[in-house]
Amino acid sequence: MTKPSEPAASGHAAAGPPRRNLLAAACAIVIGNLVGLFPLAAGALVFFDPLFRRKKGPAEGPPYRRIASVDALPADGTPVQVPVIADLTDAWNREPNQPVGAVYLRKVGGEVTCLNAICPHAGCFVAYAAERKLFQCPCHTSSFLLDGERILPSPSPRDMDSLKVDEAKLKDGEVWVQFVNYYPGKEHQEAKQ
Amino acid sequence: MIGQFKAWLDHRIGLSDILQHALYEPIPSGARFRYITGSVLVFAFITQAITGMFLWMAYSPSSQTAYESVYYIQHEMTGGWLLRGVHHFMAQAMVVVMALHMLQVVWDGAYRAPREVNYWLGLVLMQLVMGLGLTGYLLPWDQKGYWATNVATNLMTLVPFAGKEIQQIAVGGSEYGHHTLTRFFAMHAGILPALLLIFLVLHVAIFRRHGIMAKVTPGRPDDHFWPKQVLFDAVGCLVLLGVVLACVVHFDLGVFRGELPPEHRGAELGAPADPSEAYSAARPEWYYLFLFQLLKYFPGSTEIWGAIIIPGIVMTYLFLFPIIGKWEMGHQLNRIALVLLLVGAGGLTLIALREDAANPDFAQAKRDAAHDAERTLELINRREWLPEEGKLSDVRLIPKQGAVYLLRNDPKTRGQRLFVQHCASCHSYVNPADPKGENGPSIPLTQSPQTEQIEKGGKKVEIVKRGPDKMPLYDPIPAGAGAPNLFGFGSRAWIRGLLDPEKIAAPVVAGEPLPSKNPLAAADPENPDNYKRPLIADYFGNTRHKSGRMADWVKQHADFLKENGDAIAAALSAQAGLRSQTELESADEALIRKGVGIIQQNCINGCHRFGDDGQLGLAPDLTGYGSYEWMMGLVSDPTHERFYGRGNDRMPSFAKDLDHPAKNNVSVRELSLIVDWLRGQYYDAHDPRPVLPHTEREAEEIVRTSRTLAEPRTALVGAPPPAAEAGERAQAERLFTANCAACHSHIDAAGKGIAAKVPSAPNLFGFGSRAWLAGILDPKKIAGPEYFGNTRHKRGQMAAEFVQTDLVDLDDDGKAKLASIIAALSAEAQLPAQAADDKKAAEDKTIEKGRAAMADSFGSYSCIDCHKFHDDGALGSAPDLTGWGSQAWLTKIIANPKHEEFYRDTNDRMPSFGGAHPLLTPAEIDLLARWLRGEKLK
Repeated sequence: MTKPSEPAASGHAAAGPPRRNLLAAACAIVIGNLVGLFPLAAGALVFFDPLFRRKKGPAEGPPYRRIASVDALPADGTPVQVPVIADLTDAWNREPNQPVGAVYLRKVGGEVTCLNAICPHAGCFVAYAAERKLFQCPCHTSSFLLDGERILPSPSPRDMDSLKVDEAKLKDGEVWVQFVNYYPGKEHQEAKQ
Repeated sequence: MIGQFKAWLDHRIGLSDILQHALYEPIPSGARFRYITGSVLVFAFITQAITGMFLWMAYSPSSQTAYESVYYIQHEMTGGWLLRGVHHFMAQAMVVVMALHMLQVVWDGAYRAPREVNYWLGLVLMQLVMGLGLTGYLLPWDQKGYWATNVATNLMTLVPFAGKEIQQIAVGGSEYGHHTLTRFFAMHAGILPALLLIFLVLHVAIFRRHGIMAKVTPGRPDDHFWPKQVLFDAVGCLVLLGVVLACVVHFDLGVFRGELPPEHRGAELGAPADPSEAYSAARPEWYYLFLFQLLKYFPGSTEIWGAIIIPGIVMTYLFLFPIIGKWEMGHQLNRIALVLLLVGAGGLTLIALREDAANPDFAQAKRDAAHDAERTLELINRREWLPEEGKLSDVRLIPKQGAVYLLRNDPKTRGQRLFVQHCASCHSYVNPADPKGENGPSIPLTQSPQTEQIEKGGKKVEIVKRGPDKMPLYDPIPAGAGAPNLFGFGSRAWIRGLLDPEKIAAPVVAGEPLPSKNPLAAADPENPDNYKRPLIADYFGNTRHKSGRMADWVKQHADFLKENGDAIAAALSAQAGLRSQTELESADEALIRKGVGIIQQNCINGCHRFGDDGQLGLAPDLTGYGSYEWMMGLVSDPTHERFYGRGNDRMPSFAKDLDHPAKNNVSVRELSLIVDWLRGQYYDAHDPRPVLPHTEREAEEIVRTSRTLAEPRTALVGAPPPAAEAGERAQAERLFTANCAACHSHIDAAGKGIAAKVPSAPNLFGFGSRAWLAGILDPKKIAGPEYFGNTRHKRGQMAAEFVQTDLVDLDDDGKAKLASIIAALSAEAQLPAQAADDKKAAEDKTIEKGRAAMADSFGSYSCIDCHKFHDDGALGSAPDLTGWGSQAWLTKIIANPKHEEFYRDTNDRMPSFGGAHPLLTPAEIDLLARWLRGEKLK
């Protein structure tokens, strides 16, 4: 607060009981804060919009998406990087059949395993090092075995995120995967919504 | 006049007081260069504010336009690269000067009382500058900024309690998108600079309150800020600007000669951001590298230490400097701590740089990133040769879908990768003249050596297994490996090789092992990766076709091919219309025409179809061989009868179902990228007549056309001009040859007519006539080659249970009944040749008798037990005999033999020529039927 000024040159003394001054001060503060904070509050609503519009996913999790056919996967267990195609919503745009992420598929025996290509450490795109037969993150050098298990010591807090593959569709020769992105940096999987 | 104005202004705003205050700050012991860092920082900030505002005028923050607008600034706008370059490098210079400033403040003890608050304000300013650097890095929306910033925002989730919420607010949702950019831009251009300005004003005001922390030298005269210190500051700013400008032109002296290559113009701009595209060269800006490196040392759930706790502790410690400074020796401690911190950060930065320098993967990733960036520029500036106008088109720039769309649909870069992904497990792509791929891509099929595990330094290591002679051991060449090498597919050289008896079915051989391209692996002589041997299979090496008819034919016609192979190769290759052969082909018209003639004489007899000649179903269609349309058809569905049909050997149908694209292994768009890559149909900046690849829509339409056999898809290249419009008869015979004669013959008793190459269905000569009917109802003939001999019906009910049972040894009465049935049924056909006989039969009631006899049993069956005939019998088990052999009946059965009026599921291999995906047009079917019935033709 500025110090009360001396009676000004206008000659009118700002005389009166201190109580009234206090009231005026209190009102000024309240009104001042109100008008000052209103635009901030209005802005805050929009600013925090991403938190309000967090979607509640269906209880059974995200839908299965067709990723590839079983025939297309090498029989020797070499992982294949496959893009995940889905409708992509980006704020005001919705575009059908866009790549929204990528997974590594691997056929071992009759089983097909699916790993999200995003590193659970800090979210970089994990590369498959064919020569070393392991997955390697180009950022902070986390390495993973072919089944996604991390090679310790590793910057990554957990193994690569394996995604659910639809068993029934697998029998029909198709790979359908429940594609989820998980928050990186956590010991346990936490799905992004 | 000026004096009066100054006085007037002074009276109103107190100008001279302001100037006095600003310029005549006392500096004990005089001006020194060491005092310039603060002013230089202010200069740097003002530079950023000014250049930033001009960039703002051209920047558009959204995931569809950010990269594009920055591209436009960088490469199109006058002086854009200079503006952007100054902004980019001044930001880095600011960080360096800031570190110097801070070092100076702490070293000189200028953080201590009474200047603590100003020191703290300085720390806040430092955070704001770092924040500006972080937010600015993302704005170009290129791969580097995208992936590096992704890590930073992901680290936000590590903040306890509200981590995810903080990240979502920063990103504007859970994934990167438009709102990430709008938010980052608002931070970068609005909130952070405003805060910086406020704190800067406070910082300077408080600085003036306490005055400069002068280094007093006894005897050195005092001075004022103006003019000497201002001069020193100005010189400092000039030097900084000079250094920044030198960085902007990448220290390239060519700038003085007006020759500056694009890569030396200001700040780098990578390839556009693509979340589905791995980017292995992601690194933060160099002044964040120490934090990046720090993260590597905190495994698993201790990550929060490297990301948040340690940086937090360091910042807190810096905040505590003024308090620690009050202790005895506190100032010395602070000095040491700061130097240690700087050395630590510098050391981590160095380690990060050295690790990257020693990492061949990273080096490769950098090269890939540079290629993608360069390619993006080429694609944006692509032009197309307009043959009609005889000139190049305008630069095509960026479509609305954005620059990333151009790169995603570039056959040159993406097609090759998709080939590796989808084709390279069977096919190789190796230039025989450059097997090691020194001058272009080389994708060999390889076989790994046998390996064994050994213990090495406590770890299990896989090494190459060697035989007694110390040579690496290999398994036998797998029987499945080795479909044709697709390098130059469709070119003259490729086809010429196929027509070489030595080459077409040459067995797969193993080449010399190729050392690993990874220098680390290559340095280890026991690493199995150094012994991968290429498997060379140029043509039918390991396919079923190696012992097929084509290989046999080539071997049997060695001499013929020696003489005519070049012409055939030239003609067939011309059908592909390869960009690389355009000049050659326009010069060789005569040779091509000759070759077309040779193909028409030698290749269409029971094997290939070529233009309107020959038939489908036995060997791939040569019409448009190797063209985009042909290849798209083949790759999407090699089992289609236009290609290999049932003779297809293991090649998958990559996109068979056009109506349900999700069911296909590879999308048509991706197939198109592969095919365009194989055929060299992509934008090449050095091509004087550049072409553009096919669009997704074109690809889809062309695949559909490639499967319709009715319409002529492609005109033959080099075919002689068509003779005078051939008559209907000739056309019908051609239609029959092309579409029916794979199975049906049409030969008279003397053996004249069109013979099926491999007769597998009834001879259709005289179909509908009494003679034809008499034959099929003859127990000796029905299962013979003229009728059901080679069909499933040979052992069907009609043959086995009726004709060969009931009609054997008929008595006279039975014979008469059968003759009347034949007359009645044949009359249904209303054949022009039989009109007189039919009329006679109607008059003498034979037809009436015959119709009635169809209900009479010949022992176990009557006709209408199985067939429907007018009002008698029912549909279901055999073709409807109502109107049998008539024009209407014939056109219907040709169009759809599976119709319930005909064979339903007992149909044996006869295609539906009409319907949704017609093989023949209704007019063609009509003509065929009229010709079969012997009607008068034009």
